[in-house]
Amino acid sequence: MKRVYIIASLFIIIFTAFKAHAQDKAQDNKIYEKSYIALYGGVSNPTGNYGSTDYNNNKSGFAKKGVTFGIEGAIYVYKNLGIGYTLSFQDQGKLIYDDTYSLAQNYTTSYAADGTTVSATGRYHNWNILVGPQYSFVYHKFVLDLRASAGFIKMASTPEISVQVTGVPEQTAIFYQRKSSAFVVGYGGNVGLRYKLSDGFAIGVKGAYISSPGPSIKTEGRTDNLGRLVTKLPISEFQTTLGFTIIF
Amino acid sequence: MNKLRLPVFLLLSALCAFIIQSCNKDAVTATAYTTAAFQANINGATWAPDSVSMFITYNPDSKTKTLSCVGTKSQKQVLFSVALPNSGDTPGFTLGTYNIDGAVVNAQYKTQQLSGGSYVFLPHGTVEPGAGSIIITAIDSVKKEITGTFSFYSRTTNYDNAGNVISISVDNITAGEFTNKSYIYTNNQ
Repeated sequence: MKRVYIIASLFIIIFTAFKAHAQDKAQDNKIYEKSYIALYGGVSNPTGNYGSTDYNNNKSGFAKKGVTFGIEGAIYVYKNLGIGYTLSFQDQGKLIYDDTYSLAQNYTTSYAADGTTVSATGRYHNWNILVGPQYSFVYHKFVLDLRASAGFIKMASTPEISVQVTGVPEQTAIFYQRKSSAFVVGYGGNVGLRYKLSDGFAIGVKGAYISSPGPSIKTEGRTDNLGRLVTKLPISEFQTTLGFTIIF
Repeated sequence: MNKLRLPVFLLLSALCAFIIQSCNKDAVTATAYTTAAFQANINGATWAPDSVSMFITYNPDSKTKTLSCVGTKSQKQVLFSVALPNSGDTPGFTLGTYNIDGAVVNAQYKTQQLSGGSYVFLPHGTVEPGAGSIIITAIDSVKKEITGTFSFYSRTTNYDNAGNVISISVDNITAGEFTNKSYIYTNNQ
């Protein structure tokens, strides 16, 4: 709910600012922001359930801090109000030994098994395709960009996890939490600060938050439903990035 | 130069995508074993019985105190007993190492087998004197909890119809342990 408030607040700020500028500067001849495109990269931190490693939380994602890079920009349609867009790629790591050992320990307890072997393969990869209104505040060579956005998240892959419990007649087969790749809806907001190096170039920093209900997860081969069972993988990320901007 | 800006951008993006996509995807594997208070390793596989009976029984006639234990799970059963002659009627038990001798210290490995139309636990081989030991390392006679270890092997000799030995198989019960396992003290009087 907090996230919704933050994003709704961003919308309100953007449109309030737009309205005020529209009234104040109706007659002026100020030069407004030009459209731009930026290549950026930085750190993407999984937040909430996505980064949780709690076995007892079926929505825990076990995602890790990773890298993100992408293209973003804005096309200004009226004064400093524009349509912002982002196309980014995120790598959120993979399960580490401590994660698989924790899962193995807890599945052993859940099944009252003699032992459990957990194996995880693959990484969390996703693409974000987001658009939304953006308003830019200009102060000398600095530009503060506020944007709320929505769109799609393409899960390119999630780790596949196999679980083999021993000493449990009801679950003799290995069961698999399959990897998922799906398009899901996403939304978010970001705040960026650009510094113009010249009329054509700028550098900037940005903080972005992205969230999504995430893809469905399938489990196969399970004959005894004890312990952790993942059916959904909610995604939430906070990204801190640096970018290089071309103004056109 | 200006015309090259956008293509260079896209080229850099594609390069980044290629680098990240090729990140390490190797499998990460971990195995965890039970932390059950009573467990053993039977022929290389961890085994934690879901049913364990632990008794210390005092016989006032023979003045013998006997520790007996039975663990059962997955068609497998492990039993052992240690008899202490010249004992008193107290809920404790003397700490120490008790070697299997077939007389006062015994152990057995049983499996569930079809016999007489029903499945019953029958000895799987023979545990001979010198085939292992039971070690009692701690006992709390107030809480009635006992701690120790055990290991032994059970030998099965297979014969052909003429009575000739054709093979010998061994079941190894190793790394057996019981930690603060509750027991029941009884007096047979």
